[in-house]
Amino acid sequence: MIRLLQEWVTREAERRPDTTAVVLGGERYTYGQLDTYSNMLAHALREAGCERGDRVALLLPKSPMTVVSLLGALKADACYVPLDTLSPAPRIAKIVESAQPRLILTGARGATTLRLLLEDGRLRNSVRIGWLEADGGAGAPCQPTFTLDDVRRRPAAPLAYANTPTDRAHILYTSGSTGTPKGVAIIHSSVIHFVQWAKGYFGLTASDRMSGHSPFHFDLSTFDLFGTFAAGAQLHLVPPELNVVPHRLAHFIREAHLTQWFSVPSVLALMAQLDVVRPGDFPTLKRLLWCGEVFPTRALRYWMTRLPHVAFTNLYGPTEATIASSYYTVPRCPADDAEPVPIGRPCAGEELLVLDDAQRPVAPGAVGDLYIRGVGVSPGYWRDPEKTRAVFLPGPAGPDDRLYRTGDLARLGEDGLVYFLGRADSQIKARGYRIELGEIEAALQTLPELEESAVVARRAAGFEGTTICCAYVPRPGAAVTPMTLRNALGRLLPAYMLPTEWRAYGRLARNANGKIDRARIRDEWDREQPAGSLASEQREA
Amino acid sequence: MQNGKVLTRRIAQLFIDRLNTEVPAADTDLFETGILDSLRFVQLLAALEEAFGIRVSVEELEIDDFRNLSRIADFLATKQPR
Repeated sequence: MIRLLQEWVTREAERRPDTTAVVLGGERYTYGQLDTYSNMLAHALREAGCERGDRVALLLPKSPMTVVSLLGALKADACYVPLDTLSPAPRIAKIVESAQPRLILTGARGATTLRLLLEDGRLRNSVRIGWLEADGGAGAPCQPTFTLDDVRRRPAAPLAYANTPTDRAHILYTSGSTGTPKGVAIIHSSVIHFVQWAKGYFGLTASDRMSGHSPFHFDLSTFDLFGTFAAGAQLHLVPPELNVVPHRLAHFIREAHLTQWFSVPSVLALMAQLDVVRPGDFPTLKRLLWCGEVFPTRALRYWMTRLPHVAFTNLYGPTEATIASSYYTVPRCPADDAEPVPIGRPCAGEELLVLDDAQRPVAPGAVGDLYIRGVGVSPGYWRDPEKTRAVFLPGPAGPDDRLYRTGDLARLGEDGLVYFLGRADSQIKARGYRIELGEIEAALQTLPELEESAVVARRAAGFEGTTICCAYVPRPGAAVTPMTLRNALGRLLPAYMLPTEWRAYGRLARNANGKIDRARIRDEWDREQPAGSLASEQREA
Repeated sequence: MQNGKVLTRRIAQLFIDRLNTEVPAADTDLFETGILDSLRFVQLLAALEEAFGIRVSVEELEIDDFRNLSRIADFLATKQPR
């Protein structure tokens, strides 16, 4: 039984040091290398003053070195804060200001962002970096506390850990409705508990070849990583650009001989739309998992028809409840596209509750708010007691009883399974990303060329899920086009948050209280320009 | 066959008209900058097919052919108009 996440890697390194652990393209690290290199990095971090409870931010692309980095942070008794290297600097600055890391681990791919961060006076004086390039620090935008050359001179000896299972392992930042991302703190024992359940239920062994598809700032990646290490298996990191060309993604699954493919519905649906899976494809594949969004039944049927040898499992759960809280393995290919796929039943140690406004259980079949209780529930948002109090609620069963209100609507079916029915607020999922429309609106409000604006999500036809749409009123005299707005917004928000449809208005519809009526804007938009699967219709034409 | 620079400019204009995006330079990496993601890539393909009268089959797609505007221009130059 392990107590801390990094112990799985050490255990495998002792048993089978020369076995491959992580692969990306031509790069390949064994368990022995992962363990040794992360020990060295942990020694370097401790010498740099890292202590229990500290945060170490990772401004690094997806790579085996980043896996070493997060393990090194854990071994130094810190928790890691993965940053999206593609995010604009102002958004990363907000996360860094919130997390206040002892140190940022970065390299060439983070240099541009770091240079922009250092233009901010407050950060310039507080940010310290570990430069993970073997150039003696020559390419670093500021004097690094240590470089990769220094790390290589540190001892390989194991460290004694001060952390306990209830210490934080990572803080994952998700979109925040007020414009500031919020950090979900996750403790070691929550991840260990889920991974142990999943390892048993999925039957993971050392012969498994797992996909590492999610970026490391997504919580699904923590299952890819630690699920692999718990089984002593191989993690095959998917190069991010493959997502763009679905047939290369299919090629990757074939070439890597994957046995477990953990993805998001938007990617799986696009692969179905472009028909890149052959009948009986991926002969080594045993299970396909998805999480994070509703998988359209039409796309699921495509996959299940082509891959009759594969088990299909839907996982459900917000970041706040650690990776996933419920599961459903689809027993047979659904008969038609309208058949809903349930989010299923709770994973071991979790409870899913469908409650009314007074937190009483609703009758089976009725719609209610979905709450989660159990070992996966986060201690709360990092340094944000107000937001924490709003959704992590005291439960009726005593002082230690806590419930997480997901904001999802659900019903309990006659079959005893839970069905997801949508959101109670304006959070959306687009292309696998969880996005608060409020964060996009907050960014739009900072643009001087706009009088006012509103962001609505329209359901796209076909496989594509949700389209982010912006209704805006230009300030008189301002020369504004969708392109200039997209450019301006792209300096504040990551690409996946940028609206894809834009409409200029003379004024925005308001309700009786004088507030912008987003529902009406959306409905009118739908009426005048019905949701079309733009791209696919054009391709089929 | 069109001159490479003219072709690159036409593609840049297509990004503006169809994807609301101004690509900073002909060698800007469209994937690393997040300018192209899976959805927008499909939209770009449709736009290229329409504008240049070509047909691109999914099987022949190579990521590097679409990494920047110059590469897209090179790729288009190899395609015969329909």
